[in-house]
Amino acid sequence: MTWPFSQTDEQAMWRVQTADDHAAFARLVERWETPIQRLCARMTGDLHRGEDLAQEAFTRVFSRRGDFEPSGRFSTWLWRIAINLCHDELRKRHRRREGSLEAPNDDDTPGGAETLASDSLSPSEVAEKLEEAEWVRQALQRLPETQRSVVILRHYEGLKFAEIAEILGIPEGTAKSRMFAALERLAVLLRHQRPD
Amino acid sequence: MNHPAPETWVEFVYDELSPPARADAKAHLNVCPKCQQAVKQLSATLTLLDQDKASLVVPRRRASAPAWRPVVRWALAASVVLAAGFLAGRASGPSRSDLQREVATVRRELQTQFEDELRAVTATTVSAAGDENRRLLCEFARDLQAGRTADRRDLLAALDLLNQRRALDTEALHASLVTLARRTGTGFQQTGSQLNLLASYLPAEPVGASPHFSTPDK
Repeated sequence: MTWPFSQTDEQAMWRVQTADDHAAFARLVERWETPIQRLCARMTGDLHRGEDLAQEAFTRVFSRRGDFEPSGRFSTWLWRIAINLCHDELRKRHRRREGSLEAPNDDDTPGGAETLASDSLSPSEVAEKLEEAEWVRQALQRLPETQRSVVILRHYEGLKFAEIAEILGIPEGTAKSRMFAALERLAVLLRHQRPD
Repeated sequence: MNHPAPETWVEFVYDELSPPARADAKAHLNVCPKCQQAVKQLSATLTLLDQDKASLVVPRRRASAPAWRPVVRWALAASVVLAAGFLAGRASGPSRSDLQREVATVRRELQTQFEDELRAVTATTVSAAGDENRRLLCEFARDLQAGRTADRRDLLAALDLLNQRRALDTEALHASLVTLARRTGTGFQQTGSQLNLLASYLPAEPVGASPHFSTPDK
């Protein structure tokens, strides 16, 4: 069945739950693929691993579609699945003591990060921007996971603190205080990382 | 001096305070250099985070991965979760690209098989539905015709009965009227005879008197 008008996430998920509607599932994936990949990449510091984790998140959404509460928000449920997968990945990494902050280079882009070159900046300016971005990325990896997840969800994905609290299962005040602590820590880390 | 909680400054830099709360926070900042510095640092850190925000984009497909559309790839991953597990168990140590090629082949075969079966089932169902409809229509027409014939027969029988009853009623009425007429005529005759008899008993009236009935001779 095709919907003549834009279908909400909850409507699409209802179709997936009740009719195994693969077209509805594909629409959800298309809508959420990029934000979830960004989240996973920033949580793990690895762009390609982030892609894999995002795929796992959607596989888990489909395989656990019966667990979705129709009265809840799909986005909250999806974010929570992705965050939990990232936590699992980081725990495994700690156990393996990888601690690598750089993704293996599969292409020619330096630092494993693929970026868009800006037409309005000179090459040296672009390089400077990329370097600053890389400092930020490294500093982000040095945050505790509990603080990192709040920073990513609030600053990069634009979620309100109320929803972040619901995703992480913490009080809203705790989400805000973690954000404050994370920003203070980042300020210190960036001060030390950047050359004067 | 009482300072607002740190969470308040986080809400302040993200402009999420209510208007009254924001006004109070601004009023405090005007008189508190320490909080001013804290807010300035928060804002500067957020500006730096924006560098990463602007630069990070979803990576291009790796050279070794097939160039599928994201929608197809994700839907495939969802629909062959079990099949992928089976294939991974069947093959010994397949590479990721081999596994993906096998999954794509299985999916294409399943798709074709599904479409063929769907067409066959649809054709059979439509044909069967058409035959059944024709049979039901014929039965209905027959029933309708039989019903009409029976109705006509019953109607004619009812009219005949009505006519018979009307004829009987007419005959009975005629007989009653005749009887009534006879009785009435007899009654008149008797009345006339009695009146004549009465008149014979009356004394003779002088000439010019009222007429009388014929009297018997003396």
